[in-house]
Amino acid sequence: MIGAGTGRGARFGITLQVVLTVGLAVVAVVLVNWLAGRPGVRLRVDLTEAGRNTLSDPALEVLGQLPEEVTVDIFYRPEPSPITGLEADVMTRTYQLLLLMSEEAREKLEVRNNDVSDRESFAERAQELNLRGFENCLIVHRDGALPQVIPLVGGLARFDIGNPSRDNFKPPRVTSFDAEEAIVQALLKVSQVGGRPKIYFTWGHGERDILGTGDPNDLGKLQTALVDDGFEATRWSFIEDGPFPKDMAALAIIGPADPISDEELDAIKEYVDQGGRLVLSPHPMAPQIERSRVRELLEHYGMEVSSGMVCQPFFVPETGQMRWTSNQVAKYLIAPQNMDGHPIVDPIRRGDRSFVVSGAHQIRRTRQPIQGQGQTAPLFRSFARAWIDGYDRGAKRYDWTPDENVETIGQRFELAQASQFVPAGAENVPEGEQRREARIVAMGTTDAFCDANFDYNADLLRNLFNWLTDREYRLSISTRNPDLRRIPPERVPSVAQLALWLLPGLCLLLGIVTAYARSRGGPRRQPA
Amino acid sequence: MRGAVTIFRREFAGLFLSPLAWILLLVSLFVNGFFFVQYLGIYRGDVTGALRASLGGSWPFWFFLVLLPPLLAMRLVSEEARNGTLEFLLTGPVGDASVVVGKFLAALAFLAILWLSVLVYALRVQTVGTPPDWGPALGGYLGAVLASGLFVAIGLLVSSLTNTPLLAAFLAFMACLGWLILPIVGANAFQSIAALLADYAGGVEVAHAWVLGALNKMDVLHHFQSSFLLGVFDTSEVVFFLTWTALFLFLTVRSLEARRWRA
Repeated sequence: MIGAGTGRGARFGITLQVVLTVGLAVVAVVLVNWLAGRPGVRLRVDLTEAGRNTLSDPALEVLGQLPEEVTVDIFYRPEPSPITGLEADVMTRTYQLLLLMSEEAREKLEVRNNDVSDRESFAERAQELNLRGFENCLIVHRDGALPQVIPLVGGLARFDIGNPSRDNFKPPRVTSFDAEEAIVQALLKVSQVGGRPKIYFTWGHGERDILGTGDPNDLGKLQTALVDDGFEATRWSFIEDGPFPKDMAALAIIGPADPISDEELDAIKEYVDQGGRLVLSPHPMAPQIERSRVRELLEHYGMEVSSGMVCQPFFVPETGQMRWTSNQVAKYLIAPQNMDGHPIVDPIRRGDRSFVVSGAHQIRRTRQPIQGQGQTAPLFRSFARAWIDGYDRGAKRYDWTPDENVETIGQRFELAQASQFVPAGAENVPEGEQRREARIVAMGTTDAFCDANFDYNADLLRNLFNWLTDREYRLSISTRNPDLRRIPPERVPSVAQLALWLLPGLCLLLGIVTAYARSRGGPRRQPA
Repeated sequence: MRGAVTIFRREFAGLFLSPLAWILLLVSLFVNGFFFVQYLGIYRGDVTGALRASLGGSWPFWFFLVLLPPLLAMRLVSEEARNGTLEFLLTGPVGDASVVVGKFLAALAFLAILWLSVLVYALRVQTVGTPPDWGPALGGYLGAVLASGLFVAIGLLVSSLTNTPLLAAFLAFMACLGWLILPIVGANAFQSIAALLADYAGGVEVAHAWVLGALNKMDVLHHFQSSFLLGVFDTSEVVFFLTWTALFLFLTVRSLEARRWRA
């Protein structure tokens, strides 16, 4: 194996062999590590129950599409408050989330953890970012875009400060960890992936006003949210402004009361037949539904709207009693269990959130879309004990009371449908291009869009318009489980007993027994 | 393989027959338990945070990780060489690789038992009504065992190079510590050198980036904290620890072979 000589040459040969062996072994190790890190070979499994180390699909899509480098500055300084510790937990978890995002976005996302105790560098950075004052927050920014500030409290997470009184003490807690959603929304705002799709709201038939702000029935809050989300949203009057513009990404007809003309109806159908996007909701009152021709339009796409209003009994909070009469039966929460698996409502369902509908009508599917392949699927439905309250044409009102003789009672009624299909009319597509899929959302409730309910329905409406315009990657991300497993302080001593005394004590005892056994001529170490 | 098992049994039993192992275990368990209780307080009862700190997220963990393997490894080769029993082993009917692997596994098993204590704490926490997130806890344990394996392998290599156990322990401790802080120290040192050379030589920035990348690839803390500590099982990180451990074991075998022909 080794040369028999001991001369200088032999020694050099041995040294060379050793160096070569070590060198080759190191190269082999480096090579194996390089191979193990290749994307097709590397496997990462998130072991946490709450999926802490797994980004949602929309987040991955947004990170994959970032056009330029975006920087996230972290500013955090623990300050005395009832939730200081919880804030620290949230910031730690947010930082881990940002590292994950940064790894996923490769070179496109820089995370800067600013040391706020270093006054000089903090002042310099604050000046660069035009910061005034201090807040625990993230600042997401990119050259040429308005920076987005995400505050820790209310932005990254929501907190419940509990009850500090001794009699009824309840510790503060994190109720939801929203950092992923907030960061992704901020990234979208600063990067403006995909331009600004234009949504036109029909005007001139008594619809709800997208530019109005004074009346709770207006849609001003929706308009602000859509603009904030990267859309343009404005009115379009077919009579005054002429045929629908070519750059229309979606058309919304929200609660028309007056008739839509034949010409306009044909223009809407033609638009959808060319792969257009339509959101449609009938007026709350039955006569207006008939008069506005919304029924006719829905029937064209295989859906039917009820004249009656879907009502459900409500509980009186003070007494816990169920009440079947009063106009309050027409306004209710749609709980997660009443939502279907459609992308519009699925994130809300998974996030265990609810939204509000009011004055809703049943939207029933009568057939699947006939113009080519596609399907119509329900979005959400009413509570199981609901009924359809018939419209009293004599009294010109709903009576908000179930009538077993004439009304269907005790069913789940579908309140919205989403339809997507490749329209047969989209034939004039240039060769080599795919025919555009048409998408229609029929919502049984117009009031769900209006300012009075917007704060409860913001996620639903954002998701609706994003899905409608092919921006699934912008769909709202489910709130994450805070996943804080805390041991109550009164139980820590029992853990301490084990950790500090029982285990070391057992070790000491076994050591003494072994030493005693050895001193009495027990087992001694023997050569192999 | 059979030889390695025989050596493992002998060494493992030998470890627990010596007072050193019991003293190390007793002190480590007490300190580990003390810090676990402290972490519960620091994290206001957050079990996930306390477990994470106990298995890689705090300095006491890394202190034990660089201290214990050299102390265990010093007696595995160096002490045997000083006592003269190593000659028996090396001339026995088992190969050098079996001797090294058997000794390595014995020391690793000892450390695995030590880190198991953290899982016992987790079990206790569960019995008092707060079930921990077991995935990250088990992942952290695996990471602790793999990192221990790497440092035991370094300790064994150093132990095979000298006949003085205390010197072996000291050198191994320095080697483990050096490996741990190399990326920080190396990056700072190279940055200073690069700043000095920037005016005189071109391509320094490229070399700087390359060296930083290389140091990052060697960074045990980074490998541990970007996977096991977060509750992620990452095959590339497992491969990192296994391959470098295998390299040091291979070098230890070569070192023992060299002993034979040096003699």
